[in-house]
Amino acid sequence: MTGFRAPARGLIDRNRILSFRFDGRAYYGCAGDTVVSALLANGVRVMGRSFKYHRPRGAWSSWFDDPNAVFAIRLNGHELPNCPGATTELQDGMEVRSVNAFPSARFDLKSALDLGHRFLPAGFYYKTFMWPDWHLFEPTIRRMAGLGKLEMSEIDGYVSDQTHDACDLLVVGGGPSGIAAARAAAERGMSVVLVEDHDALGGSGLQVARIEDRDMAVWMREQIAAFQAAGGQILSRTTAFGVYDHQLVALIQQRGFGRGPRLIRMRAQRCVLAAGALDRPVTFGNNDRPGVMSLAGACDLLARYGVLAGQRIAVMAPHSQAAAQIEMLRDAGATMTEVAPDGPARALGGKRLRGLRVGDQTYGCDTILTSAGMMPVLHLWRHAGGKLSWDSTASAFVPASGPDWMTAVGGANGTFDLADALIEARAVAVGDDRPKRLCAYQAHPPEVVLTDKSRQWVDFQNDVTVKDIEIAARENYVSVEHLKRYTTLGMATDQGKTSNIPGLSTMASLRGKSIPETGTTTFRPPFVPVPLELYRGAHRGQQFHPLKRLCLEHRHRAAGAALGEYGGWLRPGWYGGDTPQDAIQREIAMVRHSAGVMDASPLGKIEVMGPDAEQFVNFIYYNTIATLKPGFIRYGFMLTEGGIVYDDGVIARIDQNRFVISCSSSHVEGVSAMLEAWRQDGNDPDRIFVHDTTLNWPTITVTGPKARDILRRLDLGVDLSPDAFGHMQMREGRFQAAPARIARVSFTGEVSYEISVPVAQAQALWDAALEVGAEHGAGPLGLEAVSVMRAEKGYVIIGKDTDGETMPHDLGFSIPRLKKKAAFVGDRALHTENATRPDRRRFVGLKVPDGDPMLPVSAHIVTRGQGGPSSCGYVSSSYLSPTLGHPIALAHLDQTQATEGTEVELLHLGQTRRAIVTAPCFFDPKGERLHA
Amino acid sequence: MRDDSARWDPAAGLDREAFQTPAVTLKILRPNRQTLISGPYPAALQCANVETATGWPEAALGDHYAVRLRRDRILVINGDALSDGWHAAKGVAVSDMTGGYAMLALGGPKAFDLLRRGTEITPDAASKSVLRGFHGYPVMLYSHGAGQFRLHIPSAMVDGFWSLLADLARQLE
Repeated sequence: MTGFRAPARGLIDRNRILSFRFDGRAYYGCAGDTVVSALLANGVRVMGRSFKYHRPRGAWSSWFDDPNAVFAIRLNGHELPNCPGATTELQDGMEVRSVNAFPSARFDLKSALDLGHRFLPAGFYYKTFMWPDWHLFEPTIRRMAGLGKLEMSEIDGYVSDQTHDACDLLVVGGGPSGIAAARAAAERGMSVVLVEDHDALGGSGLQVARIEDRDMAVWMREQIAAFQAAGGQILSRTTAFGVYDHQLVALIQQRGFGRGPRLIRMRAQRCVLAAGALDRPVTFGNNDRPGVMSLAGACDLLARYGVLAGQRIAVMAPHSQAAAQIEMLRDAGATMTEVAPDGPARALGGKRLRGLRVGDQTYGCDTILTSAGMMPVLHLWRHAGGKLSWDSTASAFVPASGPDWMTAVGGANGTFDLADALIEARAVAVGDDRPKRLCAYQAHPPEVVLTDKSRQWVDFQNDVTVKDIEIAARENYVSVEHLKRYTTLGMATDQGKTSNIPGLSTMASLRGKSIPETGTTTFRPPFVPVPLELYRGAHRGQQFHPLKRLCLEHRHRAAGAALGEYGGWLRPGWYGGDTPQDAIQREIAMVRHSAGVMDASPLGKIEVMGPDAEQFVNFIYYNTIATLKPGFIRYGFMLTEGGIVYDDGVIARIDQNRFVISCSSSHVEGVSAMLEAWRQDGNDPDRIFVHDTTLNWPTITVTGPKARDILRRLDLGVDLSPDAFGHMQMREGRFQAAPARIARVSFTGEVSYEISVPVAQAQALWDAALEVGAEHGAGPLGLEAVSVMRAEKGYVIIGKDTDGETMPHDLGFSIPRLKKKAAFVGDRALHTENATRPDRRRFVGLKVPDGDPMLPVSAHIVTRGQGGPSSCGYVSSSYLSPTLGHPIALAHLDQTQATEGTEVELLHLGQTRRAIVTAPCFFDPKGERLHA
Repeated sequence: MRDDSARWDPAAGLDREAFQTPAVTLKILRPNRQTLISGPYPAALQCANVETATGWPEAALGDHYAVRLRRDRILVINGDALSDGWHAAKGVAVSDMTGGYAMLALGGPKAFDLLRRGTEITPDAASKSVLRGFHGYPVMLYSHGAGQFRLHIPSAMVDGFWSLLADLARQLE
């Protein structure tokens, strides 16, 4: 006989019949069933196969502590893998399949693996597959490992909802303790949220007939009504699965199968942990057989789902709460045999249990219920940093010192007597002292003894036996952290819920030590398995990494721009429908002969203002800025404190107390934050202010020999003649009656003007520049062409032509390091031994022999020694220069090798190339075009 | 070097119709002026010609008001025209940011539920600053009367932020 539905018990709706299939067979359940309770009610025992040996496994328990019944479930055309059957609500039409089994859980071909168990103990693969090469075995082992398989298709609408909430008191667990605590606190005026992972409140209280002299159901109704009347909020189907910094408790609320769950980030002023307790399995021979179950789990199955785990039940439960549980099952019609675990025990039978043998005695039964004692559920307590202490009377870990905002009550605190638990919960909830317990609880778990007669299972899911732990102990993996990793104890979905204490107690017994001497483990979130979708929520599609968008994007699209990500912005890479290479070459030729018009809006426009602004920017910059006059611009570097180049760019001085920093487009937030950090460090913060105004000032760059002619037609109110407005100067003009800032700076080597105007004028300026430019053969210019042109000039792009070791003197900017007297960020680091190493890398140009193709980016420049090639540099940028008609490259090279004219060897992906070291500037080295 | 134009919905910026569901309404507002003022708080208020700068949960009222961003910074909405730069007499720094921030009005019976999707907020947990992280976006968020909220977002992010709010609003039960 196996499990069956007992009459008139449970919370299920027996009038609503649900049909479902398991491993191809049709079954029926009731509304309110879980998949496991429905299978048990149908007499199904074998629900899955174990991870390694493919041993048949039945449900161990009725809720989140069941590690065995893991299913792939299909409903409405979509399949979810690895559903814990004990916590998955049954729905009509479900197609349930066991995982890790073929063709079915009942008849699994891979169960033959169990025959070779003697050769597959813990750690066998560490030893066996060392020779000749682990990678030969890895694919097969990986195919065999794991539980369910992912479907490649996405489930429509499977989107988690993420929200935030806060409360004075969060009560975790809707059993009698949790309900009593929640009501008491709510009636004191606190905002209280009570979370319960089942649909119905009640917890272990559902297993008793009366509570506080009231019928149990009446008591529940009264308590819940009073709680809600006092303003309390109940979140059912909700599990607190993790505690994070600053009293943040993560809650997962189920919203039905196939629907993404809800993540609630609950900020709780206080938390009462009333999560109850679980049964500690008794470790005995063949204790993994289907039909060996948790006593408390069996009681819960009866109380919630009206399912009796078996007809003839043997019980091994040496603790003082067991008598009432046994009585409950007996009342429901089972034949109960209480067995004292006072000798070596062994389950008899295979997929169908025949009996329990203890010492010389054999007890006939179809089901074995065990509990070596109650284990408080203290995962959240540990997440929150709480400590544990060993209660030798209860043979369980109970809360010791912990965070002052979290308190455990009831079963979670080791207070297993209901009357005691209610008194305790009410006191703790309102901040009173914890009362003394009136009822003593005792547990006497049997000692674990290693035996050769049969295997004793410690971790049902991961196939860890007492023998495995003995091997670990023998090989000195005695720390629980090492034990876990060596044997896989407590891994996967179980996460130690059932296996932790049996594992510890086994190790303790084998070593002749106590459990507290052996250790405990640290629980980490999540307490229950949660789908990755829970964390994703709306972080999907374009919200995964949303790019900043140009206010002129519609204009670029209309002009045929190819848009791509550049430093967090969606920007035009090139324009036109021809190939990218053709478009880029065309744009470069256009700029070198006429002009290009580029949307440079992302360029930083960070204003530094105040009477101490001059001193401040002089400190921030590597270069001397204090001598910069209003209306002038200077190129410079910002360094990290380690002397590494953080950003380059220009700084313009508008007036005595006002500077504008035009940093790299992708560094605006970083530079702003850096400025703000330094502003607040050692400065009078009322005399310097930093405003990032980048987004208020879109920038249009006109660059090329015809740039001045184009600007003249834009009527900016500024004298553009070279004498009046030279390179590296800035003027304030007007465009269409709005202010316009015109900066003469260049990244192409041509005469260039960056015109910044308010957003409202940006489109008109863009249109006007293109319209006028068209008369000169100018047109829109994308970033890719600019990247080539700047490389022709030897201008660096930070992060591409610099790395985490590049100092300014590596780039040829050494004067401030030697001569700047005022302090600046990174100064000290530029004089360290590392900064003055003779083999530091220098920024150079590379030219290939005539007819050779471009050098590959990141190719290593090598020297040959006795030990083979050795890297002395690498290529950072490489292009085919249409201006010069040959490839160019920029590189970092050991300065002992960096003499111009030196021939160097490069290696890349097995190919050898040669190049000649040159100066990094390939085009117009005297800057005649720039200053034209 | 890749053409990703088709992977991103064309940016509409501020040119978009109001979004409306039974749960929420969302629309773009176009203030005449937004001005960032930094300096000691009293000086910043005086410069802005306002008596206080709104934080949370108090409500900003009318069309001309200031919101407080931090100890020494406010954003003035529809204030007087001020010249950019350092105002030595008052000891404050001023920058026009009219085009720098997009301004959104959010209302409807589930407006607050929508806000809770993106940021940790309660009706009563006070903050002197209206700056918040909202689903990764840096926003200014404040009340503008019962059940009405206003949000300012860096203008380059308004497309993503708008579609986020619309997606979240559609999921509200």
